[in-house]
Amino acid sequence: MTVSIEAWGYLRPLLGREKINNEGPYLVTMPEGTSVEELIRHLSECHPAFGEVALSEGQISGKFQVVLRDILLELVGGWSRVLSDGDLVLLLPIFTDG
Amino acid sequence: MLYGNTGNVLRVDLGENTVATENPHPGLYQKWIGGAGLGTHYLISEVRPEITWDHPENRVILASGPMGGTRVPGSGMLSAVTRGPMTGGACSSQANGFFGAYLKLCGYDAVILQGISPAWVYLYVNDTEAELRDASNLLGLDTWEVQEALIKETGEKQLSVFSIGPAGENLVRFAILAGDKGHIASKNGLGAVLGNKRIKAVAVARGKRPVPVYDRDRLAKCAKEFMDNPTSVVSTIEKYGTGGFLPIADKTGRLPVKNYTTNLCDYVDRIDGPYLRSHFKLKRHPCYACNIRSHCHQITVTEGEYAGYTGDEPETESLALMGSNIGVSDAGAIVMMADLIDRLGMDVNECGWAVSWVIECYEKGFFTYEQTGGLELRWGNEKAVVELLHQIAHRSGFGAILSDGVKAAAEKMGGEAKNMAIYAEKGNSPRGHDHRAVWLEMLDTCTSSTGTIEASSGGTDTKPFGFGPVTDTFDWKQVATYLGKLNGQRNLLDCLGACRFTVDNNAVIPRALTALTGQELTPLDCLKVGKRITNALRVFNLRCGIKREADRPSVRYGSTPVDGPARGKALEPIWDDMVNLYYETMGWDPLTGRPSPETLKDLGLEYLID
Repeated sequence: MTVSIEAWGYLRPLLGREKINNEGPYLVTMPEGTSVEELIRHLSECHPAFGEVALSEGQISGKFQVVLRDILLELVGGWSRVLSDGDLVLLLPIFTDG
Repeated sequence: MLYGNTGNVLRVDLGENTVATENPHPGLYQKWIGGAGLGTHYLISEVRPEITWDHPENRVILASGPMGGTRVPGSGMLSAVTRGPMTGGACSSQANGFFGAYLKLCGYDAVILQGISPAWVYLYVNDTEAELRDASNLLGLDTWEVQEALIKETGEKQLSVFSIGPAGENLVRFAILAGDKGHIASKNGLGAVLGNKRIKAVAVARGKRPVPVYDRDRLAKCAKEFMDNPTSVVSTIEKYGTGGFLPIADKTGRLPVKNYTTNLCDYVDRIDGPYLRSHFKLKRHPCYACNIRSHCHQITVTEGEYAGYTGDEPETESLALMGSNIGVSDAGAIVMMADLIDRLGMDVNECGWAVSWVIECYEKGFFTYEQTGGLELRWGNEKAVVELLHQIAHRSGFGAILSDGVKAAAEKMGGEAKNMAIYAEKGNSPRGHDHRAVWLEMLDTCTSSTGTIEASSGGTDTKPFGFGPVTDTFDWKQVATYLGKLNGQRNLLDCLGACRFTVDNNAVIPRALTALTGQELTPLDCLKVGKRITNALRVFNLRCGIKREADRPSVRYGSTPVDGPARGKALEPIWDDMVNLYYETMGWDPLTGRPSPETLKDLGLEYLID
């Protein structure tokens, strides 16, 4: 199963994606049945700088949001949501009001 | 010796035309730190419940804080506290720029304004004098023009001028205090209070009195820590301004679109921060001692009908409210309208909700072309909006219906039209987001006592306080307990005298305060000061008659999104339970929202137990 990762803002360089427009999609191959949380943990292992933000004392940190198929992750099953082949996982920074 | 603060407060009686310096007891600074804390102390001590926002005895406290005027980044912040007209309760509102630093360098921690002047005046302060001066020549000028006029009149090149525009003169209830060309204390009608007092501006020259610092070397290290460890929020601001958050808002369902009738907008990439920064001309306009090199700018539109227009670069809320929220897709028009609102002296948030409400009403036939005086108030018609904004600011024509805010206008209309308006029942304006996708900020906005969002701050690291952030934006139990634990952190930031973008580091703040004042503090000690403010303002509002019933969203504000990333998620069924749990976490009576005697005693506020 292959999923596509898109990270915005300060999360992007943490995944080694420094440039904005001139890279192709960030594709990750995972076993069937992988959940969003397992994907995040996998990314954290591959990119420790991302892991420092994504995990806190071994738990999902809440310092970023996930959108899956244009819907907030919370509304499509949360962190235990099982991913499907071809899913686009959008990782977005939490932001404060201006 | 007092460190961090100057120990001087300037009390100005506008009715008596007197200016006097007071020396608050040093214990006040230990208890309240400064800024919003000091302002809260004076508000609860001197403004009794019968003193309404327009009463001569209402106070306006303009304060810096211990960081003000030091090498801490962004240390020009101004905190304003008063009783405001939008909620009828407390107002605590902040602006950046230079004012707070210059005030400290003139030898003052705060200015207290009281009384009503018989004629229009402005307050001039430098490091050797403070006096009220005739402002009759400033009447009718916008907030940028006042700055230019007073720099010319005083001959001071380094002069921070915060003023009210025409809206404040006309007591528009969401009038602002604006200064240093682009910085706004916008909440709860601060500008209307000042207009009622007939004070057009406060102008402070850059003084030369050094701020007394307990340990300069240690403070220098803390300042460097603030600079070296910016919050994640700052990295986005550096690149795109806060307008860089607009596309994120779009993807997460928090972008307000057409008065919350939809969450779909197909032109975000033509009005967001990246677009503005790549298409328009920018000139840096940093605040005092700011280390965020690329936040504040003046911007010149370079394309389209408004090419050549120069104003303040809009923040994310302005872009959303004058863009997607009213159907405008021309970035140049948005820059122009956001800047016009600042110059006229109005809160862009309230303007945004008022304009989007009236457009939806017009589109649905609740207002006719004749009733609007010939304004074709349709989505995306910025020309009609510009005329409407002028009318609101001058309380003239059809626009006067909105000059007391959207809640007042909607209540006059009643029926279905009332249900379309976006406001918190207390009367304050939500910030320019769709909070139906961010329950934390919805709960905060509705239960706040400051006239705006009070506690939640997406970027802050709460680990030094011993708890983590919300991991599910729709888990109401998590949201309520998090907000209850967090509330106080933001009020703490507003005590410091520095921009919350630059010093929002809960581990460094206590060390910096120790270096500034000599007072040993832990992160939890600091949070406790913030909670003291939160609870004092809560008691103030209760005494003003603001009850639990006001702690909820209007029908539309609390409605269910029909589309977009948060579609179908209903807030109404759990609202009361969420508020109850929040009260409980705060140490408040779950039924009334009144701080318990134990909570007040723990915070050293025994004297507020009713």
